[in-house]
Amino acid sequence: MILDIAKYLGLYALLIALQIFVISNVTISSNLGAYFQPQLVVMFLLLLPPRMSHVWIILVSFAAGILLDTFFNTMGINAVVCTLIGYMRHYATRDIENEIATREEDNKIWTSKKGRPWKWTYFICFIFLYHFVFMIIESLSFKNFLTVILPAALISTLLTFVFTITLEDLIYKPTKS
Amino acid sequence: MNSIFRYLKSKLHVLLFLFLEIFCIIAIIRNNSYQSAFYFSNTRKLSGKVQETNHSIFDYFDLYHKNQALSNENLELRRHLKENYLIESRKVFTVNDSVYKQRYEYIPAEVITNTINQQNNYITINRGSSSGIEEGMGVFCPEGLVGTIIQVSENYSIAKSLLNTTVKIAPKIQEMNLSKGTIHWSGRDPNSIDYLEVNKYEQIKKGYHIVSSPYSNNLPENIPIGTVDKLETKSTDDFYIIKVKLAVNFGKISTVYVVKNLFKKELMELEKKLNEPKP
Repeated sequence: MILDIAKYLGLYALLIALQIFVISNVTISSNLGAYFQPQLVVMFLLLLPPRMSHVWIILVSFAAGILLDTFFNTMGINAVVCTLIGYMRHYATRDIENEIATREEDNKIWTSKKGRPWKWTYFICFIFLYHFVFMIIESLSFKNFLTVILPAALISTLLTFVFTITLEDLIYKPTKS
Repeated sequence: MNSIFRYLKSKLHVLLFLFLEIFCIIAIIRNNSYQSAFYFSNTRKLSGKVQETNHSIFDYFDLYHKNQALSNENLELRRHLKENYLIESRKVFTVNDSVYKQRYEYIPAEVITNTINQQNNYITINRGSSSGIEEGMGVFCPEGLVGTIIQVSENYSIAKSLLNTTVKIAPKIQEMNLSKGTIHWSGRDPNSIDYLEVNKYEQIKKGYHIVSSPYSNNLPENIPIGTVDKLETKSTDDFYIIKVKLAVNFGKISTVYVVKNLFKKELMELEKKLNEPKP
């Protein structure tokens, strides 16, 4: 139990570090800044154990968002989106929770009995939702919707998704399943 | 009762979600300048419209008081008419136009929202930058001084009223022609204000009139603030504790005038030169 908590905290620290030291530096130095804004913290929210209670997921998501906000000086914007994701992802992972599964693996998104198509859809939908809502709140207008917001959300979603499945391959070797 | 709790407990996640989201939105509005500007510019437009409608309805009920205040002011102005004074030296008045240059202009406005029960009270008026109002201008009504403008949008502006704990105004005692001390509201009684930092060796009496001082860039001299109501001294303190009864009933203000100082720009430039390092 404590080991699990430590693992998730480690994942969160890793994602925040990547966000601060790698992604924000790349964003600043390239001209594609507006389109290249992957928010890795969304992975942390999506990978929380499915059997965790809904209330706890919301609280943890909120805390994760607020902490991220303090690093990026965007008080509340990340927290609003993280809380939304935390609230909604429960409805996607609910049936894992409901399965009478005693296997420990089922309490992890990556190793659960759900197949790869489900996992990928799950990741893509929520990663896109996160980036889309984040960018809408950040710009608060639909003026550049088709030229900036939508392409930026799609590109960032793709990048985050590729990163997610790469990390999965790195951490969970295929031999395990 | 029990079933209510059970119901709430079953919906705990929804309540928690809503609570946290509201918290976040408040945090966004308070801490991000772009988002807060978006929020306030849109809500102010809406609330301004609503309040104006509300004001236009209730305006009628106050017409009696307004009339009275205006006629009092008329009387006061009539007293100052040139015809009331004996002309001793013709020479002065024949060159009247070039001797007196207009210094202040007044912009009339209607109060659309007003509070008196908070620690920091503000007044919204229905004139803004399109009528020439700028930040820092003084505001007064027929009975006396009201406050200063602190925020201006296109058609509305917000004034800090005297009933605001952050207001500090330099007053003058009319009977003694003495400009000293500061006026400060303690945040308790909307009918009285504190007059601080006046040395207790000054011969102040109850009933003396407190008016605006001549040293302000934003207000003409001699606009009434109130009358001395209570005078106290402490043996340990060099200053009076003076309570001033306000001339204006802040709960009833409806028509105000905003003061435009035509020389303000010139004065500010002059003062700026003074602060510049000498070559």
